[in-house]
Amino acid sequence: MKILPLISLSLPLAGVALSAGPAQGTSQPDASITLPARWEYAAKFACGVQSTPTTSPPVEPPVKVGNYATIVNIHNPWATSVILQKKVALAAPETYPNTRLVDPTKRFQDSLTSDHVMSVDCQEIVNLLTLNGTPPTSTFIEGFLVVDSYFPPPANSTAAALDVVAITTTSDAIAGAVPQVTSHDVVNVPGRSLPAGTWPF
Amino acid sequence: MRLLLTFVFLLQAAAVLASAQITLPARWEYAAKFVCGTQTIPTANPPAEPPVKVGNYATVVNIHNPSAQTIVLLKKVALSAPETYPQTKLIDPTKRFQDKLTSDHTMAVDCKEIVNLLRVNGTPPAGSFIEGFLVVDSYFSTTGANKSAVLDVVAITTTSDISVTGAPSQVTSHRVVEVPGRSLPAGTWPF
Repeated sequence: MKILPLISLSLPLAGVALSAGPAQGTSQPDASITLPARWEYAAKFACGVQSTPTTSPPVEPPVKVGNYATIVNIHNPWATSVILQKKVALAAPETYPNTRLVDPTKRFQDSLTSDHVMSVDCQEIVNLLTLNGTPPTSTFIEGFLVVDSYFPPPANSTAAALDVVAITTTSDAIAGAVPQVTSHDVVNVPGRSLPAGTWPF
Repeated sequence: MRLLLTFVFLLQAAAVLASAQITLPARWEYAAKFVCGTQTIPTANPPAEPPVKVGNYATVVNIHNPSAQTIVLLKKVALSAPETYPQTKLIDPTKRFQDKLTSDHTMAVDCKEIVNLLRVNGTPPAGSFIEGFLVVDSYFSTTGANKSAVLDVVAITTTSDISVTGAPSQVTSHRVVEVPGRSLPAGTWPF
């Protein structure tokens, strides 16, 4: 698979230029990126071991104690390769009025050949966070894997719809044991058509 | 010599690509997610995780033809390539297997059949667990401007423990998912 350079890709027919700076915090403006019209898919993930029990109901941890895994499958139904931009957006635990948002990672550019399938699992989400310079600091993370998709130039229409499906499985979290699957869910991830423009992240 | 070898390699690659090409009419396409088999890799370093939790997985995809006419189906299996950015190595899908579905009849494609298609394709599964998409194209065999044919496609996935006693493990969870269709234009696809 050909990995396209992340730094700059001009799209003369679409009349836009794609450029990405390094991942930065909210106070650093060079994280902005100019993107062509595209389909965007926000796939929910839950990864790792959540070990915080309920101590004062109805206050609850984000999910029940257990072990969670998500895998996101991405299929390109078109006759040509598509460009993918993937980023991980960890969810910031709301603590009103002192919520502190977590910056998403930079967008990692990739290419998906016609009718091929790519899978992004928790191991890869951790890999992307680590490559971004923001490795996980706990055994449990949750948020969205955000995938943008468009055709490389030349193309009349740049946005490229995909098939995106996420599977989440759970098991007990028992130290020293190999617990087996206790539940699972299969979710079709809906796409959103986004216009060309400049995004701050 | 190196130049000659490179040229021969490129010729072979082009031949392989050309042989996989297929020209298709306008159609509806359904990408049904499947998980099949036994996944035995435990969690070692959370939040990094194996693709799914340890267990036994099965999927059956039901396909119903609501039209008054028989339709042509093209089925292929696209295994998913585990992403390891920036070194992902994609897995080629199988060829498209042509079939017919009579009016108001239903076909079921389960893990056994997915393995069968992979074997017939010359790419049998290398491990005890596979996951990816069963991709179904649907169109009428009659001539005409609009040949694409809509289907009802539903996938059921079930799980159980991996049996350690020899007794069959029973279902621990299940999901029923309607598979949305996509209208695709006529054209030539590389796979």
